[in-house]
Amino acid sequence: MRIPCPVCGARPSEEFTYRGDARPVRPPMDSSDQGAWVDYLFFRDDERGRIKEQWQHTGGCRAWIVVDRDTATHAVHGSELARDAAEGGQA
Amino acid sequence: MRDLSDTETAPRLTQGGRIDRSRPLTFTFDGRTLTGFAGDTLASALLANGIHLAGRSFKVHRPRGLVGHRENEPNALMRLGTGDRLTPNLPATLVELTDGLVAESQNRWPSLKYDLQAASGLLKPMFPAGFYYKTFMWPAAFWEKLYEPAIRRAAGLGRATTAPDPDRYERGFKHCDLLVVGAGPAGLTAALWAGRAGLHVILADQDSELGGSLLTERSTIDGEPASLWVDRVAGELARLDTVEVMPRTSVFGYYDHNILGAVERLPTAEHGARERYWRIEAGRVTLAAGALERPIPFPDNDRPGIMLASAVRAYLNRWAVRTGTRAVVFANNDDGFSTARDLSQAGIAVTLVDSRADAELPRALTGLEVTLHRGRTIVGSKGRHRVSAVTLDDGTRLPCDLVAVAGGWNPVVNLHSQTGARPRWDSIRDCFVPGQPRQNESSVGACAGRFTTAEAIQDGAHAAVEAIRALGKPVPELDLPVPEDPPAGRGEALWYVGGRDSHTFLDPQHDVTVADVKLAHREGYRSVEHMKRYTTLGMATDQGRFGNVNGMAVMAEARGLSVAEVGTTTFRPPYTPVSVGALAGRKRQRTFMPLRRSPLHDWAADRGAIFAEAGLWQRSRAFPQAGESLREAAFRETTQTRTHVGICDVSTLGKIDIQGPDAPELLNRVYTNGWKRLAVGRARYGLMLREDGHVMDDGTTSCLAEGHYHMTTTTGQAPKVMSHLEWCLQALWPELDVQVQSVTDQWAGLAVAGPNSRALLQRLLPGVDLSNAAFPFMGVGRYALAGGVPLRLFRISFSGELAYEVNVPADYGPALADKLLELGEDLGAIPYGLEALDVMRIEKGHVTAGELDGRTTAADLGMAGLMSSKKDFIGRVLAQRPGMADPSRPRLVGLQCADGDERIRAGSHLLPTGTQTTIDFDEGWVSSATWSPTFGRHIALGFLKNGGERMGEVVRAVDLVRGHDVQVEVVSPHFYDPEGTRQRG
Amino acid sequence: MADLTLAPVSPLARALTPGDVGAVGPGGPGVVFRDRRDLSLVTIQVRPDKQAAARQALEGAGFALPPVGQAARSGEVSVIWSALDRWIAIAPWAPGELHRTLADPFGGDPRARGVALVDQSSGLFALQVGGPKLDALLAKGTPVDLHALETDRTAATGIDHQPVTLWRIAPQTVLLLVGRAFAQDTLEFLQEMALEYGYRNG
Ligand SMILES: [Zn+2]
Repeated sequence: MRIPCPVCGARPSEEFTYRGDARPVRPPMDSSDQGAWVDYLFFRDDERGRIKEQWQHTGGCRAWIVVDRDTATHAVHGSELARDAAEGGQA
Repeated sequence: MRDLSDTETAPRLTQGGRIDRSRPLTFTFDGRTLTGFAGDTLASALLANGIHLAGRSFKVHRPRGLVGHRENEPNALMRLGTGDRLTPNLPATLVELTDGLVAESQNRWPSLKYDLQAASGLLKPMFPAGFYYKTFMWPAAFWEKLYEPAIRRAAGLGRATTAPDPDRYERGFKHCDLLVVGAGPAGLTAALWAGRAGLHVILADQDSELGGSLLTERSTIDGEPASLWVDRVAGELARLDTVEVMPRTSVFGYYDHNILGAVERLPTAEHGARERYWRIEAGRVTLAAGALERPIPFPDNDRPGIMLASAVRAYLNRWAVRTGTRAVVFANNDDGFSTARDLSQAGIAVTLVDSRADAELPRALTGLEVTLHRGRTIVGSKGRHRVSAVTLDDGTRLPCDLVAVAGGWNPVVNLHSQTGARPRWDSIRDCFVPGQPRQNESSVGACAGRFTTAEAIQDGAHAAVEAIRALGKPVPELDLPVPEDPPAGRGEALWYVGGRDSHTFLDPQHDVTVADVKLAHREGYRSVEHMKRYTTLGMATDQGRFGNVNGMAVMAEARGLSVAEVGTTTFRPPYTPVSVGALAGRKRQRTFMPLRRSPLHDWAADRGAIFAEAGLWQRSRAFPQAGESLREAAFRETTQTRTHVGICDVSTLGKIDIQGPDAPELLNRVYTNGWKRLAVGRARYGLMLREDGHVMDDGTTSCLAEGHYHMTTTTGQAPKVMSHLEWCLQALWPELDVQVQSVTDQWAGLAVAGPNSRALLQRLLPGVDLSNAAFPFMGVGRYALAGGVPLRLFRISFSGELAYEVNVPADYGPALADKLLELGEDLGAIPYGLEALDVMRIEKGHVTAGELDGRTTAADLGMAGLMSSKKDFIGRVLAQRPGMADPSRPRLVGLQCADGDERIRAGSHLLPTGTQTTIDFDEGWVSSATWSPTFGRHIALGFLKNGGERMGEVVRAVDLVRGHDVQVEVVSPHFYDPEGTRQRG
Repeated sequence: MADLTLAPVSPLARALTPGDVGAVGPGGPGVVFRDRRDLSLVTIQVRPDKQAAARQALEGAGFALPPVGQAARSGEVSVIWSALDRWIAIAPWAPGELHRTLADPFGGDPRARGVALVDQSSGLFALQVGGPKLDALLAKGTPVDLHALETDRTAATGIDHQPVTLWRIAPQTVLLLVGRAFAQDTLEFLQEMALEYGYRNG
């Protein structure tokens, strides 16, 4: 697979480290709702099709990125820096 | 007929072909010394020496001869080399002949001609389709002991050597705008025009020469022999800067995102690698891998001398080898004519058996002595180690020593299929052709079912234009050559000749016959995927390249369907065999993993250090003196450090530079304890949790200046902590004004421990007040040595002694260590290693990787007090889950032998006394253990249920693996100086 | 009083012994390796929202903060892009001098301007690799497209899976920055891969 790093351009997936599904939203830091934290940390849908996932370009620029990837075809539809996704997605 | 002279009957022609007769090469085959020429393959050289018999079949050991000239050869599998350079299972057709080559046939005993297992023709009934599934089903226990060894001995494909491979292999990466796979007329044309337009082109072909089918057929281009055109194009390609021509390179795998795997075989050279695995990222791919001829299976079609017609022509035209003296050509299409023409012109008597009732000899054959039997098929053959005659369906018996079979063509759709695309059946050409592409690729020429040279050249040019256009470059005016092929027309479908199906071979290597496929059908294994696994058709080393399509047609007929409806099996990489050495490259033995060296690596090695692997690091375990064992050295080093002073390389600890006004806030969020009040010049111990509440890592972080911190991590977790901090700052809290960077490699770290450590450091830093008042426990200072070399001093202790950690830029690490030993000679300064470090930290009750194993909580470690209740931090909420907060969880305890002095082993389970030794009574484990030279007994750290309340209790430490069962007393984990007066003194 | 000076030691003190190795032909070695410990390396890490201001401050002092994937030279000091929000200043000076020179444009307190300066002169090892077989050699180790790595372009990638920064300083020369602890391993990898071209440790 080739993963498009928003900083470095397309690089082989071996340069990246996988973290997981990017969609679960982290509860607010001061939240003490155990259920919400459990949902955030442990429950995943394992969907077929396009999902967003987190990778770090550990073998390159070290950026944390969010990749829009199809789990069935491996087609990659784009990527963005995790900090940009955080600003746009977690208001 | 007149008698023929020796030169007229010798297999090798005296002229013609693309071999270099001025460069003879000597090789051996099964111990016989033979000669070939530069340009030969092992197969052509064997045939030039009159050798057809090249192997025996996998199951029934029938004699088998050379059949093909490419990767479709199912029979002639060779073991090459001697000693530790042995490679089994190579098709002789893909082995370039080299001087001194040593080849052996396989799968025969005691010799190729007299194979004892074939002596009884009774073997075949023992191996019907599905025999694995039904013959040896019961009792299951017999499989390992009886059936499998027997089958393996009977089968025995070539054996590899068990000696280490002495050759080198490499891996590498390539990038191109256009990858062209196959250098026949289509591939050459595509590469040429794309290269002329300035595209980065890679042209790869498994052959040693460019040209593909043009090397083996008597085509002309622009009125000249095609080989002249090939030479001209090859010359121009070599001159084009942006074109890379890669002969001897097999593209074997087509992966996601247009990444392809290829293996390049390299000529043997003193300094070179033997093979190179390339990972090619291609903008576009042109598949021009050609087509492979298929057989017409007929009863007894597996005798040596029965070959594919394309191979017969190739051996004749390219390698100047007559594969027989009296030939029968059996065809269902016009390729029979060109075969008959080429053979007849080489002085070989030819009889043409054409299955088509309306076959007419074309004008090209007028004047040649070719007898035609039209509308006929071969129904049997005779001959022991070589075919001697065939019988036609009208009873005609034709003596011969060569049968050339032309059954039509199968485009090489394998790479296309590997992308996930589905090849489709072309009912006009009677073959699978590429379907809708799923990646940026196209198939051209014979690879797309367009079999003429004219079509190949047009397709290749078109592929180049597409690639040029896709990059927005100007499309050149095309000027294509005009080729002329031997006569070709449509053939008829003839998938096999019925009759004795159990002797009609579809897969000669695995002995799969038409009868087997029909049996699979009768027993319900009707989908091609089931049929493949039930009969093993296509599972031999040629991967079905020989007879798979015929087998599918047999199944289609049995089911009353068309081949299109039956479909084809899925092709998977690799297309041709790839040696494991090439895939592994340099990743073996010492270079299997990279090696991380501390700045004090050579320094320690010079002092006789014994090293241990710690992740990728090499760390010094101890510095044995003459006659000392590792243990003795470690205990000496421990005692000397506790009584005098020792220095230890701790450079491998992770170090992270943290800068910015929000640094205390970041520390507060990633550590469980509070950081807002840490003053400049002070260090603090910190505990980091994962989101799930388990302990991730520990270490000290020091405040170097306002907004500037120096974090340390454990050696093992350093990369993980670094990524974690980057995650926090980039993804979770980009608003924090903090920057982090690993400085692990920048600083050499030396622990200086022991009662004399202050005196020693005072000599290094004479102008600095190191008194306890001025530089207390957990103090931090920054100084400059002579020449401005910066030095960071941390008063932290892992050993429990008065101790410091000194950091200098890594380049100065060895000199600093030398200087400390020199300055401390009269203070008793010695170097100590990881073992003494471990002994001392166990004595002190400090935790390390054995305790921080990813399953323990802060409370388990006795550090519940570090969990701040005044702030939020990562892992806070989930650490409070009932199972995590359960007070009866195993807690960190110290353990010592209850009586006597038996060794306690790390990894032992802790059980109460007086119970059975079962998991039901398991109450914890031993995480670290050592002999304590300080206390003169064995001690350990472990985790025990309700451990905090069980001080003084005796439990058992049981190690069932190593057979140990020891009574141990539960004590505080802080064996040594529990009040900390030494480290604070 | 005792002599308290310390002498620096290169991580390649034992791996880069001068001489020619491998298939060196009459035309000379295909690859030449050089230890560039004469260069000091200080990283400049800048918060994304402060990069425009930092660039302005550095340009005011005659330096640059080049775009992603590029290198800029001003006199003896080169500033090359190396990672997300991170550049490396390289100069044949003492590390402290380079550090001070870079801090000056930020009023001596870069942290207050979202800039972190970190000396990595010992942490990163600078290996110069040159010669006619440079690209053939690098292709055996790095997955980046070397066609695109033109002179004064940089890439954050790996050599034999070890993280490196590559800066092509001339058509047939790169400066390769690798973590010090991996320096010897990376050099040994490159040396083995360069056997077929012949190499010189110089
Ligand atoms: Zn990147």
